[in-house]
Amino acid sequence: MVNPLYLIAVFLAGAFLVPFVDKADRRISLGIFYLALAASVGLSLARLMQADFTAMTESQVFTAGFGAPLSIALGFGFKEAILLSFVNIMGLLAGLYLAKRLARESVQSISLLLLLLLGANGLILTRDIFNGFVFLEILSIATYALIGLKSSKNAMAAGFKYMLAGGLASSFFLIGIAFAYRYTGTLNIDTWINMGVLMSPGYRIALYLIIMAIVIELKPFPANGWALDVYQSAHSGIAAVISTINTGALLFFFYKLLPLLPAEFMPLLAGAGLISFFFSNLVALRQKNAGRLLGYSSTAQTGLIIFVLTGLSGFNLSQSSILMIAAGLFVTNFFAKSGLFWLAGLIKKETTKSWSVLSKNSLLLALFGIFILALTGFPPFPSFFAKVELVRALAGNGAWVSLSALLAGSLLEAVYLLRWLGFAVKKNEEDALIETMPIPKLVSLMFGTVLMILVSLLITTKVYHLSSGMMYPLMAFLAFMIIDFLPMKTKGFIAIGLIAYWGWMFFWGKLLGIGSLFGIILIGGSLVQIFGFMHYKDNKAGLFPLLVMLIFSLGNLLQACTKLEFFLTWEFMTLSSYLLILRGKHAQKAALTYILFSLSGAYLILTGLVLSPSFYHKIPVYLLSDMIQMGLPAAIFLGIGFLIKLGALGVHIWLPESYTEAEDEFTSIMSSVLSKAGVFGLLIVLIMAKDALVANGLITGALGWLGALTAFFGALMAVFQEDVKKLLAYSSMSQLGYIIMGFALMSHLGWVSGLYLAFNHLFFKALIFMAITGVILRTGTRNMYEMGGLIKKMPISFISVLMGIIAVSGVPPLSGFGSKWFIYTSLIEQGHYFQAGLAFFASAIAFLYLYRLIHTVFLGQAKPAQKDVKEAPIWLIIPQAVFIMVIMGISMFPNYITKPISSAVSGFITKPDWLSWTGYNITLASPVLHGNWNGNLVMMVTMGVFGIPLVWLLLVNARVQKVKQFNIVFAAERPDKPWTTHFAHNMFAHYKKALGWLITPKITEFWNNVTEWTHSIAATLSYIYTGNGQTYLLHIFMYVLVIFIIGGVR
Amino acid sequence: MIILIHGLMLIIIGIWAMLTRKNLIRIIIGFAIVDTGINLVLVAIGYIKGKTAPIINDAVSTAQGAAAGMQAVDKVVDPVPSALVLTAIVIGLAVTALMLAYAIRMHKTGRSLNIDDFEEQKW
Repeated sequence: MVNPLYLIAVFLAGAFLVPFVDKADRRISLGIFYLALAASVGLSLARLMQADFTAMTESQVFTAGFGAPLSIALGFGFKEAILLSFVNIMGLLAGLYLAKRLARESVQSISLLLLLLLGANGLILTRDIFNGFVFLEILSIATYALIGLKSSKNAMAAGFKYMLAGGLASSFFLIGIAFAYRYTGTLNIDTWINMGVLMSPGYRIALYLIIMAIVIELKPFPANGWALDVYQSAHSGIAAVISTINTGALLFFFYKLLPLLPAEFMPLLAGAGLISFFFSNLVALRQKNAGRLLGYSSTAQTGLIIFVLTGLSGFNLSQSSILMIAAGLFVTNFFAKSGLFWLAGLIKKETTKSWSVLSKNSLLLALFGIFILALTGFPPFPSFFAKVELVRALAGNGAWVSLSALLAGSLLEAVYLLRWLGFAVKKNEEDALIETMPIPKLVSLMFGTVLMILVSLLITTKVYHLSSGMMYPLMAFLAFMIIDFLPMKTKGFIAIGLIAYWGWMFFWGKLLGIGSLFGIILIGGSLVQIFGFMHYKDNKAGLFPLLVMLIFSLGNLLQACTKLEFFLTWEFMTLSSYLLILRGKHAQKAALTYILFSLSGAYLILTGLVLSPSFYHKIPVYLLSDMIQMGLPAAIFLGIGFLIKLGALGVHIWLPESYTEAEDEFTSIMSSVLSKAGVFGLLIVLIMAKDALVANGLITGALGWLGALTAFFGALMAVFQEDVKKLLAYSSMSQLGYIIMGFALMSHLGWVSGLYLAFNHLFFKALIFMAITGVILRTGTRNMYEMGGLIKKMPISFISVLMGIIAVSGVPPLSGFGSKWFIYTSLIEQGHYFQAGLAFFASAIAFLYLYRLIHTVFLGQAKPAQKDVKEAPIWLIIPQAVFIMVIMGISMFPNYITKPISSAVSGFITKPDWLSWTGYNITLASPVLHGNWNGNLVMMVTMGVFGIPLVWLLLVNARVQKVKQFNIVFAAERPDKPWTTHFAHNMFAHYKKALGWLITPKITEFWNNVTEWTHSIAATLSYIYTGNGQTYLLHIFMYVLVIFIIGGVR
Repeated sequence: MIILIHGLMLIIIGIWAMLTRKNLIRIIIGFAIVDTGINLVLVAIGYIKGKTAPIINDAVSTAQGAAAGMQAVDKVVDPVPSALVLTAIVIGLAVTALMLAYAIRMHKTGRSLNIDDFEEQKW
């Protein structure tokens, strides 16, 4: 085994040698410095490579040739080796990052950095508590001195406050040691552990002081004002070291002392950790300074790890799985936080808003994105798995308070981190390019990132055993990143080919029941729409990688077997769709709203998954669904999670914003395909909780009304929009309401109608959105009153929209009629007359907005500014043509789709005898309702009815005298705001007068208030950080005292 | 006992000074007083009755391992703490010196020795 003393010797020798040889040349001293760092990395890695990790005692080394406690014991087992490898690699990277600075500064800083690492290494190795104190002080003193590297007034003040805090903490530590020694006669940690916890109150107080000293050093809220100042004002390289190396060493020392503590300390420490996590994230909401924000985030993460180490000990979890959770959180924070600090040092911008400079440098922006997403806990980074396991432990053991604090804190963390990402991607013309990019700093950054990704992949494959299929979204993303330089059209065809091949190999003919239906929707629907992205002439960097990732993850929803696979895929989908929305020009706020609602939904889904019975391996979730039945709590969590994704009324406010602000082609996919992922999830839940839901009845009743109200209000809000995309967004919401309504019936006919509408909605909404994309592309505006008379310029788009709105409105003969017919009949058949009435009313309202859509855009007078508008590019026409053909086909032969849906549904709810297909005729002969629908016949008749007048008109039209648009006389004055006099502006003003009160944005107001209040609380709380060193000292003193009193330590 | 009480009193006085005095130098003096108090406490309670000095002779086993070590400390006083107390005193000195160095540089950059003048970073 590698003797740990070598590590200490290397650092000590380096630290003493460096000032000596520096007299000759700085290059020699720097050479020794890097040599020592490299040697330490080599030693720890060498230890890691050895396989002789057995019992703890066997990996101990005793100094001076005596056994403990007569000597100082150093433990160098597996855990130590891993942590030391990370710490020393980080030391090397930090040394590299600081290279330029170290070459300039006095030689002492080189020594100090080595001493800092000596302290960290010693703290991790030692098994003697007093020796731990010595290393802790070496670490602290080196850190204090290194903060002085930046000799600004603020850095000085921060360093001094840090010293005061550290001094007080070490006083507690020493007093604790003195009294503990009194009771035990030794200071060897293992000896103490062997003795067990002594019952003497004095010993307990001593232990309390010792552990609290370490907790204080770990910067818990609210006793951490000094630490925030340090993070804010220290040199970025040093701040990175403090938040990674120092925190890592201290956390490990904390972990080492845990076996000493009596069991009743654990809830106290866990509470302290969780409070620190939640409140640090809360206060961070208002923070505008990047360094300080990172400080808050660091303290929050440390708090969470403290919570994991202490709070989970009461549950039936193995030590190694607790450590695995902590390690996952730690490693992610370790690399991401150092990377962020280094980035901060590279771009030298104080406020988070000014990080928009990154938008001009795609490499740095990509790194920034990776760090932020890793910290937020997205897969495949270790923090994702750690959080999943943590939620599993908490929800599985009924620790609801902790779970809510954890999830709320995570959400707050996501708010400020992702808002920051939004600032960074926002293009700001005034920003200058980042010109100075020192190579060593860049090398550290890149190397750290690569290491983080490698560790992530290692953990994903080795620890959680995820099959390679589940990683396809990520692989596809990386593959398309590599070929991102190719022209858009080439990439488009590659993407279509790849996805088609993948679909053919893994899905075609292999999916059963509802799986095949959703396979067509999720994969087929996306495939056709890829054409829409190919009209761009300039290269849209990053678009195809994300798009392909999204489609792969959508497909994987059908492949996922275990809960972890399902949730991982769900998060891949959320992540890629969020980043795609973020690409929109002004989409920062919309994307943030989207991701926050999506994350809340994801947390609920995760909790629901934990509560549901375990899934089988190798059986996709959708197939499994009728084999297991979950209880109501799981179903409610999952259901709400999926309803958020669907944009049901109340949690819909992300929907209009993000549909509007996303890039136009992507909005089409969001509305037509992505929303179906929510439909899929909701259906799975209903299937899996069928027994419980049918027995209860109340929940499905509420769900039905939620669907009806969503349909109604969605339609009503669509009527009053000026923005064409917003109109369509609300229309989508309304349509999804119908689907929810159908599903909530829990009847065969209801589910068939919901699924049938889901199908139709894909086709007609994608059709309209694609056509409108072309219109927006050509006219350059989204406001309908700025368009008009485009029928002559864009006839194909007009036909698409016309077909689309006929289908949406549900008038014969197109497919929309069928889906509406199914919905109404299934509602009435079940006796839901009021819901049917409301649904019918909503459909009537739909006529208003659809009329507005086609009239104001394509009919009426053409705008002079748009007289040179051309038809949409062919790439947008291709998907429209496909969808028109599909709609015509479905309308003509509805059986080809209604019959498979019915047989898929009959796997879960038996088909009633009174529902039958004869030829093209669907017959209903239920006891309460009779009816039949022959889509084919209706189509034939309508085509005849439409065709005859058309021929007549064509004949008559030849004799009509054509008038040019401006062949008229203008009179009267020119109004101030001419567009307001246009009929298309505020088109339904009279209806607004009558019904407008219904859509006062009450729900938006509610969510705005939530935001406002959270921010106010955050601001108020942040006032505890007065900036005064003595106040911070008082905080520490009170912190230790209050926990002592609350805990009743005696 | 008297030493212990004195030590504890010094600690409290020192902390009081650190919390209430505004002058940086006085705060540092407060810290030094706390340090002295802690060392007094260590001296006062670090004595264990009924054990001999840690000098190796036949009575003390030098075998490795925690169990053998435990056997040894049944007879002699654990030598490691007494060695490390010296280190603790040195560390106290180092921290005080570093604090004073900081105070000098704070006076240079901030033109003041009053801790209230160093509150620019907050919230």
